[in-house]
Amino acid sequence: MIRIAAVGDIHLGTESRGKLAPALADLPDRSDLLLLAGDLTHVGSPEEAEVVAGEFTNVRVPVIAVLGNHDYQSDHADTVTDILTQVGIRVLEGTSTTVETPGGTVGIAGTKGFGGGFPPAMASCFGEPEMKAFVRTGEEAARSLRSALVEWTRTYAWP
Amino acid sequence: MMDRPEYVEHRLIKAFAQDPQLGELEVEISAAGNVIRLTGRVASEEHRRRMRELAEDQFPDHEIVDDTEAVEMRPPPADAEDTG
Repeated sequence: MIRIAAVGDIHLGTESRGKLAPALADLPDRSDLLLLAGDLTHVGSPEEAEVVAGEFTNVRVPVIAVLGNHDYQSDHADTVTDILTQVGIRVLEGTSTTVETPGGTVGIAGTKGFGGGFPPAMASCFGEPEMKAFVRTGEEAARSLRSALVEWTRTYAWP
Repeated sequence: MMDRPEYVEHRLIKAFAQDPQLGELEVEISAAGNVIRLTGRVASEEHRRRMRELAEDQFPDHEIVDDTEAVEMRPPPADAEDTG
């Protein structure tokens, strides 16, 4: 058995310092790893990223995250990623990672993703350059996730 | 002349999303007459206070009814989904 804990949209800010960590104290008794789906912060500032890093520093299980659109708002996504990485959080963006658990090996691929919609309300790569850039951004995110999954599978599952 | 409700709502949607400390996108805003009602779940009591400030600054002639709720920190669920 592999036990996976997952939470998203935690939206931590500077007012959140010390509030989340107590709820995670017994996580190792209940889970083999923790997935953080994006929107870890309100506005993606380095100060907020420090709060996130602090809350997850001592969880004692591997933490794997993707960022969300909120984490890009201050145009410091790379700094946010660096701050989280420094405390051992693995931030995926079109990449994959491996976690060894007592129940087996887990491969995880991740990306923030992007908009674009689904049929019948799906944007088309057509018309103005801005519209095409929007759609291509979503397509590139999807492609990067696919590549990460394929690469992980070729490396670890069916080498 | 009073702003049309959809313009009031849009101005606040933008203000809540773009405030440097807030980044709140999930709040529902409905304006009718001189009443602005805020509903939904927000990150903290600090955010509720800041949203009220912004709404009062932008629309001092309106009554702000704040029905939002700050998310509480709860322990993780005791049960788990068994995916087989």
